[in-house]
Amino acid sequence: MNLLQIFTEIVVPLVVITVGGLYLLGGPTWRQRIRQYLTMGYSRAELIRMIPFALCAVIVILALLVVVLFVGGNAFQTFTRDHVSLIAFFTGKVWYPDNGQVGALYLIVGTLTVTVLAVVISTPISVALAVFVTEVAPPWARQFMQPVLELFAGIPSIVYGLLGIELVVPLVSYAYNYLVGAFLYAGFGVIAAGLVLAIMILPTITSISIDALAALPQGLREASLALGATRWQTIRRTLLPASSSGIFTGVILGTGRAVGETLAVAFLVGSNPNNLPIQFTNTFPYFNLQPASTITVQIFEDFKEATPGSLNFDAIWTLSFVLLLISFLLVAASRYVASRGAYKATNQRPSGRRRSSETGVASSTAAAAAVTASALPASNS
Amino acid sequence: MALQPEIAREGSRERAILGPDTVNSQYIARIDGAVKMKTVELNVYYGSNHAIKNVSLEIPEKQVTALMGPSGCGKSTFLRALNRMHDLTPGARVTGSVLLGDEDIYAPKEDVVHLRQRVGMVFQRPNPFPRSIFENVSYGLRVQGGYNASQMRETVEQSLRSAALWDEVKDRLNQSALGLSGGQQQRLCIARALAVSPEVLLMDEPCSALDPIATLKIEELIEQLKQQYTIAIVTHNLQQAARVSQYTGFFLTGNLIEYAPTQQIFSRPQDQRTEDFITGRFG
Repeated sequence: MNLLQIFTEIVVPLVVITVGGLYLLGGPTWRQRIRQYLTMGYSRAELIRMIPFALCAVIVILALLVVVLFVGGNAFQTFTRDHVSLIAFFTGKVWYPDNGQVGALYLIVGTLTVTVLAVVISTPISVALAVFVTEVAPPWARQFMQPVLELFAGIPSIVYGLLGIELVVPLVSYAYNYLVGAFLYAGFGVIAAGLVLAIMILPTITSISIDALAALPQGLREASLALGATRWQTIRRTLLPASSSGIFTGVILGTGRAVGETLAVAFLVGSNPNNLPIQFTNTFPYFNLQPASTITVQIFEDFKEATPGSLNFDAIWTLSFVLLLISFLLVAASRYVASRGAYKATNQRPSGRRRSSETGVASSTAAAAAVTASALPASNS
Repeated sequence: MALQPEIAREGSRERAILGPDTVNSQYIARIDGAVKMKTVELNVYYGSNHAIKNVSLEIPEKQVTALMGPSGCGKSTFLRALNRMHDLTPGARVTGSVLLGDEDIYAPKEDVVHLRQRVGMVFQRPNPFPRSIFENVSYGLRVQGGYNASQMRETVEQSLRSAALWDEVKDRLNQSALGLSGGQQQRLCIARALAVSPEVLLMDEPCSALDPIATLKIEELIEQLKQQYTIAIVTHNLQQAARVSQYTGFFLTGNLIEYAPTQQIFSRPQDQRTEDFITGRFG
């Protein structure tokens, strides 16, 4: 019995029976309560007018539920039908589904390495760019940068992949062989993938950071400068801390994009699921770069040969469920950060009441979070 | 290059010299006693908008100077020219000179950062940093550098005491400044400005966002602060100008119409437009 069945055959009937039973048998108090809860105090005519809107909301929620339950239900087949243990899946180092071995550890390590590399490279550049655009450059620079960033974000990932093969892979290969010279390294691996991903997530982080900085009240800047702070001190000591939650939200969304990216990474990472991205040794140069793989890339590679009902097929679903969980976690994290830090007491209101939903940062992030929430699962397939 | 102001103070017992009635008058507002700041033919433009027109005015030391006028008359613009806040506004241009002591603050060699330490500013809306109360007050010292922890604590306490806020916040210095009430936030902003020990304190409608009781507290505070600091305050509240200031200037469409001791300007204004304004015929 999978999750979907549990839901449709146990949870839904239970709820219907409980609520219905209370309504019919619970007497006037319960009837009143349930009716009050269901109608929310609206009149019948108002309720009828709301039906199309409510339907849309229900459809969206149902769609999400179906996605989660379907992926989840299939994902657990690996553990229930194929009898792979949870521990073996997450700690196993060999990914050879045709041979019954589905150890996803190196895939997870690959995804983490690529993502961390991309974020670590991209964040300082993005924040510096955002600071330059909002605080240093003349106003027209921002009007110029916004469409440029959108263009950047709109380049299809396959184009990034091709560019990466043509430009970044040879560069990495050349740099490695020049600096280390231990053996000829073709350049495919996490470094190349991380570099290209860093460029891909740059517009996301930058534009959200720009929004966060621009949403700060002008009074904050003036206050700092009027106290004799230099522009740089104002940026470092006041503006960046005050907008940190917005910037951090941008970083999380960029992370989400990096985790879910498939095509560009598939071009660059080397697609070997049984290698650690970096192997440490006891002899010079003490590490080897090798072609590796990531969760998304492995789904992409293996799906071509998977037949439904095989371990191969189920393991792919388990991988995608792991991705789904990661993306949900990231969206949740970004929402949490946005609600918490985002310039809470708006200075427009001297009484300092807290309603973060009114700040530009929070709303822009919420919108961005919604976009990623829909984009992440889509990019897995 | 500092323009030498051609103002001869000695011999003029006339408190304020009234200019001719034309709008672009060459009106030089002089005072008795020590002059702390002085503008000479100050003009401020926002793009093509001529916001301050040839204003020459003297600000007395350790007294309160009020600048009043209807909305959009340029009084805030004038005030912001006194510590070069217009440097931040794209498209703003300032001509003429502003003297602090003998220095022209618009001279090319002038250090803006140092100037803003000497001429502090309190804004219309309380704008504390989203940090703790202590960090807010010590901000000016930290950006200057060179203060150790105990000096900082001492200055923070002193400044908060001067701003009449110490008793209210001494137990929660490490809590966020955004948790304070509007009036407390504004006094915190005053304390923050005092912490760098400025010579002049500019206040841009400091009470316009506050309730009457908080306003009263700020006014009492201004009364005390003028023992030590030169204060220039912009207000659109006539009673406030009458209550707190020793000198009052009346601005209209970018012109300084009249500048005189407060008592005089409220009891026998020399210009018809000033009289119309203070009797409530416009503005």
